[in-house]
Amino acid sequence: MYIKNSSIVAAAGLGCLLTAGLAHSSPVSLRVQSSQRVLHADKPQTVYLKIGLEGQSVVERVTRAPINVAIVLDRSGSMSGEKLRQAKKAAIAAIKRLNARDIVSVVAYDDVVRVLVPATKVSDKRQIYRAIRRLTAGNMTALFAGVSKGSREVRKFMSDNRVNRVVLLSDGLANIGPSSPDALASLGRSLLKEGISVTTIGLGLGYNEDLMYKLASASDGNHVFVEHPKQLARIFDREFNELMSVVAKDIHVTIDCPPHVRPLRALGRQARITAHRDKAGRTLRYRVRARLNQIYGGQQKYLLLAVRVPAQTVGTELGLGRVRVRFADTSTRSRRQLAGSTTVNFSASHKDVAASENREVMVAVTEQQATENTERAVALRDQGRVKEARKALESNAAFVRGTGKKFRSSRLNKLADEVDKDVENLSESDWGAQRKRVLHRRSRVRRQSKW
Amino acid sequence: MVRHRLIAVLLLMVVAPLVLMAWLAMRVARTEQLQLQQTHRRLLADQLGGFERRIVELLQERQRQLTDQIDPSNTNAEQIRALVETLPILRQVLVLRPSGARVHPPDLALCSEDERSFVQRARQLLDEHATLGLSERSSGSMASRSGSGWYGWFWDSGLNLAIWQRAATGHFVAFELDRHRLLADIVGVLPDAIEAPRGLQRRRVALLDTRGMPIYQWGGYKPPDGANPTVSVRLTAPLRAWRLQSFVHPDFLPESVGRSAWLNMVAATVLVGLALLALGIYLYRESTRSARDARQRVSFVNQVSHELKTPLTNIRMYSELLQERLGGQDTTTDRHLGVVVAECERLSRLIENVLSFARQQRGALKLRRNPAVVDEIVAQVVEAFRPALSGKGVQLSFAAGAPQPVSIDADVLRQIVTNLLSNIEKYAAGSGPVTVESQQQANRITLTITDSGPGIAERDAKRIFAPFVRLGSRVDEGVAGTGIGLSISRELARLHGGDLVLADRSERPSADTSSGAAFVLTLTAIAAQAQIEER
Repeated sequence: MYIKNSSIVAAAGLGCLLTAGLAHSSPVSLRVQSSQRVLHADKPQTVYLKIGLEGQSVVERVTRAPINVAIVLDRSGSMSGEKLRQAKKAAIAAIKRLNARDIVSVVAYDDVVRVLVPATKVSDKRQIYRAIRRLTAGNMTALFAGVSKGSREVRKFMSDNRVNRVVLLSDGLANIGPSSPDALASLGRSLLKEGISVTTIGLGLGYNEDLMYKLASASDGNHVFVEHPKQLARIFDREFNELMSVVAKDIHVTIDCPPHVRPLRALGRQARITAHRDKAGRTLRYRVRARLNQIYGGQQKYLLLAVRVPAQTVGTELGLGRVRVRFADTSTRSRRQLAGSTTVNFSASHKDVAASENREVMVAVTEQQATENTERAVALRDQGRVKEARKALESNAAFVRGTGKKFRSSRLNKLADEVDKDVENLSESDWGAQRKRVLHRRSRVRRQSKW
Repeated sequence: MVRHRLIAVLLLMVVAPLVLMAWLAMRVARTEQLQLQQTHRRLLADQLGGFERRIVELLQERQRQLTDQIDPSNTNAEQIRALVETLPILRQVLVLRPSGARVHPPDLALCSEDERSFVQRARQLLDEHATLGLSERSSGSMASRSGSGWYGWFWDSGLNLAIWQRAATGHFVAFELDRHRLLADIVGVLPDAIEAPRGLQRRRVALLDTRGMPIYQWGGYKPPDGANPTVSVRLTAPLRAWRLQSFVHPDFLPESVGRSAWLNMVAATVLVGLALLALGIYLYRESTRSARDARQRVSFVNQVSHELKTPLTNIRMYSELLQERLGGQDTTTDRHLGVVVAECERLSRLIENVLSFARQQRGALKLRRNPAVVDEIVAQVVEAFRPALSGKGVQLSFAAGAPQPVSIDADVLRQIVTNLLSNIEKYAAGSGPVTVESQQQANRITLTITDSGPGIAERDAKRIFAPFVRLGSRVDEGVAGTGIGLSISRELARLHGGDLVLADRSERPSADTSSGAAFVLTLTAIAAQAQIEER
């Protein structure tokens, strides 16, 4: 009797633990790190805070969240021929992978917008393919209207459990409707607020990469530069792979800094830094807010924050900030919250300080800074200041190589090689086209994607 | 000449109605066209109004969505930031105390970068907010002003919109809209090129911003660059700076509908013109036919007379020869021959008259002047008629007063006098003396023949000179005559520069007080050198 009871209790206890463990298995894990664990005492300095969000590998998940995607295709005159053919093929191939729980819409634009396939459950695929195949090239480019209509289609079936995305393919310059990068960025930001990300695929060397990049980055989508139409199928494939691997949505990251710790800026991401006065009304307390739209299984997205730390005496332990992450779990459709923090210590020993550098964080910081340097060099080249641009890139390459050597990072070494190659592209006569090649790495780095 | 006038009249008959018809039809077509255009434009404007309503509804929905989201007297920065985070249409929020002090965005040191640039952007709104919602009835105290509305201002080459609200407490809230999101939402409610009804395939509708650049358009027709819109409608506040324009494919404008009506009109005009022309030609042929017939008849008569002339001349010649040879032998023979010759003469006169008439109709009368003595010619005729006339109780007397040779057409004179005396023979038989008087004054020859016959009534005075007119023969039986004698005589007299008239009774020679008629012949002669030819 007694043994039976205890075994029952044991079994129940184990069962509880297991279910508790399963129930609390978060699709996202949070890791807060600083670039240095030990800082110099008695002087203010800048330290980098990395908030990493890792999505649980998809293999362990049972079902994926349904996808709600609008494919927006540019059918302006410049797309006629091979480009449009490959685009249609790629779109059809991607749609083939969807199932009946997913929702797809197809929008085509030239100087007017045509909703070829209004948002519909992917039941009759043949009809969808037919509509896509019928597409022919037109004339001008109303990119803004295309994205507007595409996002409207997505909105029809928007819900918490679906992954909402607009995939935009364009090869040309927007010339009808708003066509400045800031205008599209503004639209992208508003779409992010409601949980729609825009992935922009730029095809060829004739499109406006600033516009396409800003639209994607403002809405937390991907921007990809595709030089040859044949690569489209693979790009669409990867994009849909990611869509099918979303484990968390509507991610809000909030960092509350302790008094006197001042966040300067976020690297490679948009973040809003505000302040309020504490209860006494004198000290400023800073808060950083960032928004991500999705976390993919098996991938890490991070927020990198430069933080100014005041002078502290030796031996002090200082918390850099309280991190809170709220998100929606796509499988359970519930909202979850994670919390984390990190602290730094202060020492008079330079050796201690140097030794405490966090390789992972510093590599990320270097990558982001290198991208910013490249952007500055590109801006110089845009103004025609070729020599200065060249110098900027060369010093960038040296900087990256130096850090790469220090941390023995093959990634950074490869990056340095690429920056070296970019120097050649700077002096090309067709700068408009080369610009894309130089900037294309920016999207990859900022995307924080593997591909 | 007559023919030309006829042709002119007929042409007028054909052309005038056509012109009138064409003008009328044009007027009608024009009016119809204008009306069609009006109607068409109204339809297009209505359609644009329909699209505008969608935009207005969207704006109203946004207004509903945002109004009262914040209680400005009891709010804080975190609450507002959370709201901005959630609503895609909302860009930033401005909250002011009744005093005008800014509640949100707070102190610039506490603001995010977006909030700081918003404070810049909203400068104009900050300056003007106090005037918003001011009503005329307001006494000026802040507390009495309330309400909500739209506020638009220009920033960075575009229209920026905000929805403002004033609370009863006097606090002021303005919700700044993300203008690109607003535009995207507007694009969302407007048709795309497929959703549009089929009619839109021939049209294009464009939405234009403040700079007149198209920001969104739909419809299957692509107008050429720089084409003018068929209809243009301004949107209502707060987007009054924007416009909706409709372009219609030229083939579907009423202008070209009018084109087919033009075709109909032209076809109708042409048909009517052809009908009228046919009618005109028919009438022309009809009227000329009678003229042609008349000419044929005259020509026939002319021919006949010519044919008669030759045998008659022979008869007369041989009768006169016979008269000479057998004259004086036998009274009966003399008498018989006299009758033959007289009848020949009569026939001859008749033929002369007809030939003259025919020539006159053709306009071919001609004078042949030669020197002659008027009195001699007149005397000859008088003597020729004396026997016949005295046989009918008419005594001829001749008062010669024109002995001078002059250049005249002797045949004409002879013909006229013969006609006059022949008339007397027909109408004034047995009436008494007939006086023939001639006068000559410079180039003027005057001959007066007065008879004692029944006279000619005043009403007939003009008629008798018209061709084919014979006065009624209540007095005489069996009066022969063609009625052309006086007519041709007058024509000949006029041709000769003179006239033949019926004298007024008051102009008669005073010696004669009888009731008869008096004919006055005047001729114009040309002075001729003496030389009287041998007859």
